[in-house]
Amino acid sequence: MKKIIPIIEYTLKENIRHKIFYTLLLFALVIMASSLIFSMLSPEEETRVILDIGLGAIEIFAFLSAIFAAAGLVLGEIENKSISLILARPVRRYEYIWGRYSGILSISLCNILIMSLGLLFLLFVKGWEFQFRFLLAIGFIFLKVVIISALAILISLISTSAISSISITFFLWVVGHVTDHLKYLNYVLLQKGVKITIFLKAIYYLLPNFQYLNLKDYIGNPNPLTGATILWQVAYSLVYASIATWLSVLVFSRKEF
Amino acid sequence: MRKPIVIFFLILPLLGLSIFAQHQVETRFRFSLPLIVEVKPSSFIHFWGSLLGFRRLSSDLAWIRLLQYYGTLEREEEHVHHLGHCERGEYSELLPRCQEVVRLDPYFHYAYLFGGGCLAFNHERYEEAIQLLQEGIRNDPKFWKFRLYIAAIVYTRTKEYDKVLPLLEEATRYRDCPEVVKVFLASIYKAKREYDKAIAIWENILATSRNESLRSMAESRLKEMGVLR
Repeated sequence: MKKIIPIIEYTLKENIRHKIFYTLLLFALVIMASSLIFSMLSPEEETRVILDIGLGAIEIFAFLSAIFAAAGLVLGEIENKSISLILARPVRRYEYIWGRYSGILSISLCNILIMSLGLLFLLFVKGWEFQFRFLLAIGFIFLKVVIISALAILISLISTSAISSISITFFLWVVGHVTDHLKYLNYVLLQKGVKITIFLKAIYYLLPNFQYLNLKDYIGNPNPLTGATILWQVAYSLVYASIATWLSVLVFSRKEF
Repeated sequence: MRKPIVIFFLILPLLGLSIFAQHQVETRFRFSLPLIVEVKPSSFIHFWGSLLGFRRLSSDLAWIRLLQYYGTLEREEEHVHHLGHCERGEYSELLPRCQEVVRLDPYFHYAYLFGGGCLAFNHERYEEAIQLLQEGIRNDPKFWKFRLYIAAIVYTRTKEYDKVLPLLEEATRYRDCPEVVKVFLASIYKAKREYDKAIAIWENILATSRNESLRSMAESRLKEMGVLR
């Protein structure tokens, strides 16, 4: 555990020095500010438009910064052979992966917090009434980043280039949002006499399911969100991310440098 | 060799736990949105926005497009609204566009109220207005204002304006009341020669509305009534 902390610090410092970090953060804040212009097109629902654009920007840019960090850091170190220097020290492979992963999550959390503060400032200026579900939506965006970062690291260890790693991770992000439609697909296929329910269920449970973490789409929903549901959603995210990270450790432990 | 086996046997129970946790979330998660095939998005952006977890944002974009559509004059003559007679354009796509907005986000209450109010009070398309508000009741039965608006529309259709008045007066007390309802109420007051009440509504619209065309309409109505010069 003690060896993981310096890796986390090193990952944080490396990311903060990276231009992409600042570029993405700046873009997110610019898009949030531009939501003020869009909101003028809908004077009666101004705060709603600002809130939705802001949350969307936070999610997109948190996702992008996580996958660029995951794909760039680990793969970059493998490509320029600096990984050998780290592994020459008494750092175990699982400590390295978990340290890198935790560092990426730390930088994503910083990103999300800065963007959320910017959005809150805009909303309060416009007279928005605070809703607790806003904080839950931000928290669940972070949970999505927890899962996708773990997957991004796994994909970056399996793939041969940063571009393919980023593309595959993006594909998983898209697919993770449409797994809910697999049930409808199963229903349509059954009506046509095609029985692949078990296969579709396997895909449904193996792929990440982001729809249940997509709380920003349910902010206006009057139905209550129980504590038990939130706990299971958090548990699902953490367990899924652990699986992906341990798989990364498995892949990484079999690599030779 | 030993370590990978240990990791492998660590992953298997975690996978089982993940499936169990997902199943628990599925049974407890009471929120649901209409599927894409039910929404029938009219544009590429709405389709992909819905699929990628940006349903509310897609609904907002559809809403802005609806406002632009409804805010664009179909004919060159100025909008005039009289009680029982409307000289606005046809806006035949008003209902389908409202339906797209509320199917992308079924809890966008203002869109139902705005759409229902415009269809009924501006265009006398009472059946379409009721159809839209009934869809709102199906999606969110607890939001009682849908029933209030349906009642007001039914009485307007049967020209029972005495029954419409208290319903609309109640609706206008709430912050989320669409301005089209206030305009209609002001027109009823004017037709019944209750000029003080009509003036109060127009003054309220002039002071609070963020819609420039509505503010200029309020200003011209107040000038007609001799309140402003």
